[in-house]
Amino acid sequence: MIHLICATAAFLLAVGLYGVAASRRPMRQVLALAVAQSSGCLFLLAAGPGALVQAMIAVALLLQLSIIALLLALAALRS
Amino acid sequence: MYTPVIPVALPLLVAALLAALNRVLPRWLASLLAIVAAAAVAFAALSMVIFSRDAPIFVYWFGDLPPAAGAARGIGFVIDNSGAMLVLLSSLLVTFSLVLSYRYFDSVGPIFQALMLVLLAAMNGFSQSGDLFNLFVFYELMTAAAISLSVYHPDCGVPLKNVLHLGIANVTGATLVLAGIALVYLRTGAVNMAQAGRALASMPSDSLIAVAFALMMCGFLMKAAIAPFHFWLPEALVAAPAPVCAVIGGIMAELGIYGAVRVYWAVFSGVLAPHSNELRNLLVAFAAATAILGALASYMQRHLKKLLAFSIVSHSGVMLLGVALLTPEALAGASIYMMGHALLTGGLFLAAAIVVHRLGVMDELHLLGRARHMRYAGLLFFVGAIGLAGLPPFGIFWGDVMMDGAAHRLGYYWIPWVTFLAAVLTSAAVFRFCGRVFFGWGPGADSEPLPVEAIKQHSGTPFELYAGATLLLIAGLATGLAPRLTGAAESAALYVQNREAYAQRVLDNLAPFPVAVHDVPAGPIDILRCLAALLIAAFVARQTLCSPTFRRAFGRLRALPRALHASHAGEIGESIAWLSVGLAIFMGFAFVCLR
Repeated sequence: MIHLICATAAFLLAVGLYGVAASRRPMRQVLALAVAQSSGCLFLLAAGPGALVQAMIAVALLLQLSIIALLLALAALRS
Repeated sequence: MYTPVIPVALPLLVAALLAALNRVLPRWLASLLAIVAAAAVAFAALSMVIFSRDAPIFVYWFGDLPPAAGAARGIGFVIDNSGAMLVLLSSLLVTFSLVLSYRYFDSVGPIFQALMLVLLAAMNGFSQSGDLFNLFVFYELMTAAAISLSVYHPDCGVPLKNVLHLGIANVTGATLVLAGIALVYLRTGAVNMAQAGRALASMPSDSLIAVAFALMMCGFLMKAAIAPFHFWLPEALVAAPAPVCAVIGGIMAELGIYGAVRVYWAVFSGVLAPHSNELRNLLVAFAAATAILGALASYMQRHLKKLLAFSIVSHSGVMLLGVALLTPEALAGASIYMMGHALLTGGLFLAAAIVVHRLGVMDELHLLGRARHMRYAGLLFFVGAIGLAGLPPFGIFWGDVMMDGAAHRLGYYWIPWVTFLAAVLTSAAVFRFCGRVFFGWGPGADSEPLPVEAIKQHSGTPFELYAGATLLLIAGLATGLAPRLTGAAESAALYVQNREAYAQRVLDNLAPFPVAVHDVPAGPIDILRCLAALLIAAFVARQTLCSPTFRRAFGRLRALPRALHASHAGEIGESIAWLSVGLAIFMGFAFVCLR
């Protein structure tokens, strides 16, 4: 199971980075970045079901979503 | 007792107050509150620096939850001499930037000051965190604050692409760090650095550990603007207003390098000890390439902020060279270099703010001879150029002496030439700017239209703008005059590199054995080397401006930097593609050599 989650996370990271690199539209780049970002939480998920992991995932998600929202707003302004 | 909390809690509290009273507070009061808060943090940091000389590692546990049976139960701040110095540097840079911003901007509300304080709190938290996950949290917080500050009141007309570049690059870096942290947690069940390091040291290196290390290092090297992860920095600094540039340009790269240092020695140094030679070679290669490429790119620029940004990239490479050698002497040299460089760069950006505020343009060719009357600003740039050449007593000089000595002892005889080239070219770039803008030497760009970023010009320069730049440059100069500078830096480096002593202090509350190291003397060759760098830089700058033959000859040498420039036109996608290349190199190396 751990291997499956890690492999999915690595795949999302690669796809996300490719999406940012390949696109020229800011909105798409930010969305691809969000895909890449989700890999971090998936890697954390692979670490197990403990309370600390849940707390870390919650904090990481909160931070990541806030920054993605900020970047999406900027991208919307640009386009 | 509660001193380590102040650098994070106080700026956040005042920022919350400023945000809440945004519509009520007059501008002067908001500025005053922010400046007082940042200055108070600077005093707290100074007390920590003094305290950390006697008690090299100080631990503060939130909620009074110290570790039990060698396992951390809560969140802790671990303050050593290097971390305390970084807190002091951040708070000084933010204080001076806040002073300057009061007169630099015609109208900014309390939100600007609040964001600056959030950035300060994030930088301080990053410097003090003893916990891997909190390192990530403060990394993200720094990114969010830097994005907001860059877009709040930009210096140029079209900043959104540049700000997106800053955001996307840094968020990608943070993602890599988070992925690395998750893998470390997966293997050790700990996010406390000391605990994770102790657990890893008891097991052999394998693919998972190697990948975790590569991911985290790439994340921090992105923040440190090391090639090929560096493309975001020049783009970000072009857009950000000058007071923000002084902070981002002055300390961000240093924080990235500090993150890499902290994570390597506290967490991975035990498990990767058998592979330290291979790791040294890889990091030295990245660092040397960064130092040379950054210096060449800096000399190619005609945009003032890009020139300074690539100078940061080059010097960041030099700092990483010190770290990469993996010896206490070289690490001590890198930490002195960081201090001197941060203050010098902060001062140069504030001096750039004077030019931008008065003349409204940052393009060197368009500024030809237009600042002849601004003699004091010219003097500030001139002093900055001398500092970049590494002349004593600037802190950079002592850093260079220690790093070059360590490189010689390890058999890397070519490293002093790399640092010499970086010093010559970055200093020559600033000298050339001085010659063209303040003396009117060389050709201009009369026929070209004015760049789009031209901003409002002002008829006079307020005192605060001069004061901030002057004080920072003086501080950069005074760094090298601090008593017992090299000895204290080396003993601090010994503590940083001693993973077990660090773990014992954090987890077992055992005080580390005191280490006394003598100062490193500078020989006549070191001083002659700096003088040579200074003279060559001045000569290259003068000849570039005044000798058409030299310009033509130098133009032929520009083929390499031009090719590099063509490989990256400032697009976000290209930046991420280069990041992937760097990541692939690191990962490949980790798979082959680190397990």
